[in-house]
Amino acid sequence: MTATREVPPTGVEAQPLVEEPAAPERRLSGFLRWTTSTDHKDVGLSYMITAFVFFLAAGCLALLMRAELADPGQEMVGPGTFNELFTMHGSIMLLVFLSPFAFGIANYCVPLMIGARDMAFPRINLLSYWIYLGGGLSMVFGFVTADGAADFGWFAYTPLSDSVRSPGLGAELWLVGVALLGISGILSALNIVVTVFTMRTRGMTMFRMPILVWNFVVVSVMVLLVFPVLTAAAAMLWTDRNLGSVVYDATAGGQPIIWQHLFWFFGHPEVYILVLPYFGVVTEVFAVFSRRPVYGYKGLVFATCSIGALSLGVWAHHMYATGAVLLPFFGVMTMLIAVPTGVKMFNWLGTMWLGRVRFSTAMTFAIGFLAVFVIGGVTGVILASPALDFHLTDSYFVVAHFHYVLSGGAVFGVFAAIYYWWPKWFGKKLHEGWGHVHFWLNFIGFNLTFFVQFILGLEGMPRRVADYTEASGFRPLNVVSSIGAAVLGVSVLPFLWNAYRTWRRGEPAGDDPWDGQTLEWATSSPPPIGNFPEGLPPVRSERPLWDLKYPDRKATTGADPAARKATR
Amino acid sequence: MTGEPHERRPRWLVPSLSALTAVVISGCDLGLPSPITREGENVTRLWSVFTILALAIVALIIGLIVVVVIRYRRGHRDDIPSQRQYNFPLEITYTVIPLVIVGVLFGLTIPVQENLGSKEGAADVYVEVVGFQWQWQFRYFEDESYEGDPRIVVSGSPEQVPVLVLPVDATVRFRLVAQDVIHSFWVPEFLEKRDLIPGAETDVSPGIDNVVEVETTETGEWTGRCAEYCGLQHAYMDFELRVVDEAEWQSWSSEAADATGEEGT
Ligand SMILES: [Cu+2]
Ligand SMILES: [Cu+2]
Repeated sequence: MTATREVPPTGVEAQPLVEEPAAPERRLSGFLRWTTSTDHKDVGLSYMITAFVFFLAAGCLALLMRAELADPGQEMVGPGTFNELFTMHGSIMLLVFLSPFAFGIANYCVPLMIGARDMAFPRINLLSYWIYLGGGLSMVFGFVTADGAADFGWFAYTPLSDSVRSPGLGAELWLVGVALLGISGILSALNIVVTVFTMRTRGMTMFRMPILVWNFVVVSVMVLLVFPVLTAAAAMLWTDRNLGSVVYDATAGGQPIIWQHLFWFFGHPEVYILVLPYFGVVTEVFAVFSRRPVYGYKGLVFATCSIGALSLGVWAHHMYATGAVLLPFFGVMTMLIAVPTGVKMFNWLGTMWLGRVRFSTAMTFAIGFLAVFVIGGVTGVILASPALDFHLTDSYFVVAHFHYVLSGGAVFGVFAAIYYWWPKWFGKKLHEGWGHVHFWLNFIGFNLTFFVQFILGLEGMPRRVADYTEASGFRPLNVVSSIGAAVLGVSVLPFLWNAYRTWRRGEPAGDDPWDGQTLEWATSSPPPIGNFPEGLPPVRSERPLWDLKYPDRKATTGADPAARKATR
Repeated sequence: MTGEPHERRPRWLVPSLSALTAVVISGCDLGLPSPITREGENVTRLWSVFTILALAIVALIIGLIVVVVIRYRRGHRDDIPSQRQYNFPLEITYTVIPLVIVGVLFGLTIPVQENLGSKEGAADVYVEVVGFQWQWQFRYFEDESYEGDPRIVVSGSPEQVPVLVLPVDATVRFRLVAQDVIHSFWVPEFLEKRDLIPGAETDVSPGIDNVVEVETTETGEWTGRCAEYCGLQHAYMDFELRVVDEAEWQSWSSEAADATGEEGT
């Protein structure tokens, strides 16, 4: 390598600060940096950019499906291809986009927010990225095999996913992909937990960590508990398919239902693994753009922990219609999750209440998140009731519900994160005008696409159908949904343009463009290797940077006397 | 009611409240298909309670968002607002109220869901619903043992959608059996569905054939569908449900029994 180290200025070696690097290392660029840099910010960006590319790809699959469903009859793709499309759309969105994107945010933000120099295990961090990329690509490569990609749905129910009903390389590649993504997720989660537990800066107690960091701790613990189950279940399915074991084979005394238990024991917590990071994102955004502390901080931490705990005991609400689960137990556990979720909503509203709300694009996405997530939440309570779920499960009502949670909730959170931290990542601000165009197209397209699906489901349209009859009467609402999907597809274009024009000629953002409260805004944009060359502000609350800027406006437990004086 | 209504009460309150109550009591469908079974009527009622509550919560949250957006926008007031972070009584309130709501909803769910389960005693008609990739077969049996040869067998074919004929005002018990992969038996107007799961009772695993019982209340024709994704032709795995009056049921069942017998010999 030709990169030479800068000669450290004299006097540096004499200082006893062994924690600080001797001198900032020269950064590599381009391909070498992508493939070899173990800096947490580089790995984080690799995760996010890769995940976003997968997001665009899976979005295109969805557009194809909506085009096919705009009209009864087979126009563009046959049922075989359609089945591949929805299988891969779901698999990519959940396993290769949402959760790796969250790991990207964790990689970038967690060390900065707790005042650390890097993740605890930088090399494992890079390794887990490459395992992730391998897993994602292996899944997608199914499309270029002779029989096409996996087509048994993203939850791969046995016996449909056995070697008799789903032969072919695409299914094999899907299983390999799932196992690899599982391993990658476990490594990342381990890294996050160890980083948070061992690398916090002086004064950063657990209850002074930003909510985002708390949420990543909870998510990581959940990943460590449930991803091994998924990987093991996938491995057993693989041996059933290839080595002649009969774990799920009913004809040999095995039980196909076992797969569902194992899968959903992973699958339900997975929903919270996907969504909790974005709960964290919007919490930070609400506070900063309202100029307020996070309202009910401790209650919020408690709510996150109880969501995490409860989510481990509700998996069988996906299986009411199997007739093989204890309905009252899973019903009440599932409904109970609504309580901490409701607490979070009121805490978010409380954060904005009395605030000075500024409608930056990030904030607009966060508010949009709150508005659609409440719809996802209440429909979740409806689905939790077994008596109602018998009608609603496996219908478009469910499709609408989880898109309100994941496509409305989590993806709005993704964009809130992108607009919020872009200045930190790249040193330039995204254009706010284009940002708002992006938001409104996204918001309108999203609601148009998915709200009508609630009604379609109620009327009796099953999910995962490549076609429907004219006589069913499903056509008008499907047309609306497809138009909405087109708007949703178009909404990405202003964002891509925004990213491009910012890259070419964006204005410099400065270190702290949003009047931030947490430590990542206390260093340069982007931060150098080692993160805080000029040291850190003292950490005496969960808002160290705010305390530094406004020393006489600390958060109060009761009514704020300073505010009363000001309004008088 | 005689006499003047209380002056302070807003004029819209009484009619809208009574309309709301009427909706809840009558069990307005609120998007659900109108049920054609006794069991479904309970589901409709439960659905309207859940949905009205859900709409109220959504309206509350969206309303609060609108207030925040209008009242607390950073405009002419660009100072630093109150930094109050905790209000313990308020936080307890918005924890306990959802808890109570959840308790009530769960309490309402239990009786309805128990009514949807399998039932004791005799039924009027016994049908074994057999699902396989990608067709249905309906086998009518004499009694709840589902043993011996079925009296009537109705099979679907690529040219002919299978027709499930049932008498009206009768209790019908379905036993759901799958031959290959998992399917799901759904007539949307029943307002319930159950999976057909392969794997009969063996010495190592319990039988997992589901049983559903409904009491039919209306004559007419409806479409039934497979709701669990089951492979290539899943989208086309429909059947027809025909609920007929007593006379028509008698003539159909004796004809169909004869046809089944001829095929068997
Ligand atoms: Cu779930
Ligand atoms: Cu099916």
